[in-house]
Amino acid sequence: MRTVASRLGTGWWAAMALATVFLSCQTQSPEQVLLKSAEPVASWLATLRMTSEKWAANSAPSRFVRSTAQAADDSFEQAERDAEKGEASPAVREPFHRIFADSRSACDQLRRAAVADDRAAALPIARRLAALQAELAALRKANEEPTS
Amino acid sequence: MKKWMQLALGVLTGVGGFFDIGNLATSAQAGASFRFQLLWSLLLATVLVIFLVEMSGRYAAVSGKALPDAIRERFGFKFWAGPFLILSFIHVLVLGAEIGGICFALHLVTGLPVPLLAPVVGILVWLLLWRTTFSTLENSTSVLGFLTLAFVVAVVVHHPPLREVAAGMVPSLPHHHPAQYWYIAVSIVGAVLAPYLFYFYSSGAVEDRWDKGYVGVNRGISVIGMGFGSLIAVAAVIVAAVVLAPRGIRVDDYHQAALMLTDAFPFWGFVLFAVAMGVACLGAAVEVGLSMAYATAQTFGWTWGEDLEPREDARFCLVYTAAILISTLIILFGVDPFKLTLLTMVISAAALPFVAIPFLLLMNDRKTLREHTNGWISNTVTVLVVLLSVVLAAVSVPLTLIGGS
Amino acid sequence: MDLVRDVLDKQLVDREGEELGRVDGVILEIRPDGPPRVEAFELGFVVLARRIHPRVESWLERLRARWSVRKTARYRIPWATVQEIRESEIQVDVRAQETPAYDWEIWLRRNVIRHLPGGGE
Repeated sequence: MRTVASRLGTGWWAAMALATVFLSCQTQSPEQVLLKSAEPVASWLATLRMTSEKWAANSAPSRFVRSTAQAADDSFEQAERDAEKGEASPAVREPFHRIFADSRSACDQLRRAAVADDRAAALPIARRLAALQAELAALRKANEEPTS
Repeated sequence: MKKWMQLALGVLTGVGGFFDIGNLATSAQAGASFRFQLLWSLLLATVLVIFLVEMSGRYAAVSGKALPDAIRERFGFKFWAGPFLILSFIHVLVLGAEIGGICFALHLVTGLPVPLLAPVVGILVWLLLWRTTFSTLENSTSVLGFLTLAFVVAVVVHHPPLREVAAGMVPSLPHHHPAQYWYIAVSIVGAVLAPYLFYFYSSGAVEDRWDKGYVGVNRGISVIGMGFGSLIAVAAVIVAAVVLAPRGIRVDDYHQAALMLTDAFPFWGFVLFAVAMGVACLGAAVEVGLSMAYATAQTFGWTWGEDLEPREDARFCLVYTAAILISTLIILFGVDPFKLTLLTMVISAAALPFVAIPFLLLMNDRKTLREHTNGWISNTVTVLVVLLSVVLAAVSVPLTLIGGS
Repeated sequence: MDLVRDVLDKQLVDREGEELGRVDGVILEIRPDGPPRVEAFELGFVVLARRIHPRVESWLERLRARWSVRKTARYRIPWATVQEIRESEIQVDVRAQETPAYDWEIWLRRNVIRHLPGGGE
């Protein structure tokens, strides 16, 4: 029983290693890489929007808004780096880069408002974020492959 | 009556063992990305864990031995050495994730950065284990555990579409992102069927001096304790589905889950989430720390017991101290707590065969358990768990690569 | 008696019922006239290491010689001291605190636990 178990164990690790190698070699099209990098951006835009709205409604403290904005910015930055990896043509890449940059700008605006405890700025920023969300959604839809 | 006071052990294991940071994170992810569609995996995991916890308790009650003790004795050191090292490694990672959870909850309330809070939390967890007895831990953490009911109350406030919720309890195929769907399903099972849960529960039963007379009560405790934990987790999925999914928020970070309760409780929601998270993770941290100490001390035959004074079981205390120290350092050095949690859940799922297979042999040992060996239902479930664990072990790494991003 | 099942890896307790360790290894006496006889139990990390691989054993030996509190790598308990073999444990006629098995425990008590709050008395 013990030797069978140890042989199964080695066999399993070998299979794991193979699977890992196989999957790391999978490649995606440049458009797919761009679209994938946009997913967390959409999610964080929605998060920041909800955070602003809750902040305006006094459901969340300013320090939380600041902290969330920081986390969102890290994610936007990562998304920009991921978008580069696909090496898509500049024409396709440019609109995404613009939205990512605008997102970081809105995020920074929110962070500064939170640091200043300027709750009045919350709702206008939320509206700006909503507009960015819509823009990104439209862009993603336009780039989606017909077979997906 | 005293036996039913043991319910406290059940609820403690339910909140710390079932609903911990792993469950919070995976439930929030599941609800946010797939609404009610993944409820079935949570329910499946619940049924399986109830059976396994019941077996852990029954074994301890009848034989007077906790699981790690029994495994070393029945399987021998050569078989147990590898799994023991792997499971110890997982324990430390899980402890890191739980401490990260407590730190984040404190961060929500105080605004202080998570790495800075790590030493404070580490010392707090250590002091709890160092200074208290097992029964104090049982009773206090289970009382605090009731605070997690905030999620259940939020569900009631939200009036979710019951038909859709019910539909989610039946397995279904995803309409989008299939890799992520199955990745979360696997993580949910890995989060629920955590090894520390069984080692803690069986060792706790020995600490509480259970005997054969507790076999019946053990069944009740398994169902109620795990059922309670499951209820909270299901509630968390539903709240995430109703609050986060419609807004297009995916949970890749704790910040995205933190406002979950603010729709239902505009004023208290933020604090309630922090408290629920903090309490669940604190209960879990205590359990994981103890579980590691139990497993190590029993494996090597040292004196062990939370009820003993530290000077009576110095090596036992050294183990949980070292575990807490390492896990605290992990968070102190800035490892992202959320990513750590997800990674740990998957590794836990991959190591499940080491946890499941011993059950199959231990629970059918007629010499030790006599008339209390597994019936055909328990055995069928155990075989299913073993098969499932092998499948999970095989798919967890590939899924992480494609579905976890 | 089935050596592997009834003795190896079993919990040992001393004459007062205190945990002494586990039977990490068994010393057999090979007799020309009859089956092998248990001569003694062996306790110690080094003994366990040998069951994994002899190289692990020698590596652990070197570590122990440099860093360990233990005076001996292997602690032998002669078969003659066995008082009772029970279902769940084997009782031997020694006092745990006086054996090498407790070297680390006592060292920790004296040098670490005593200095921490609540560890004294």
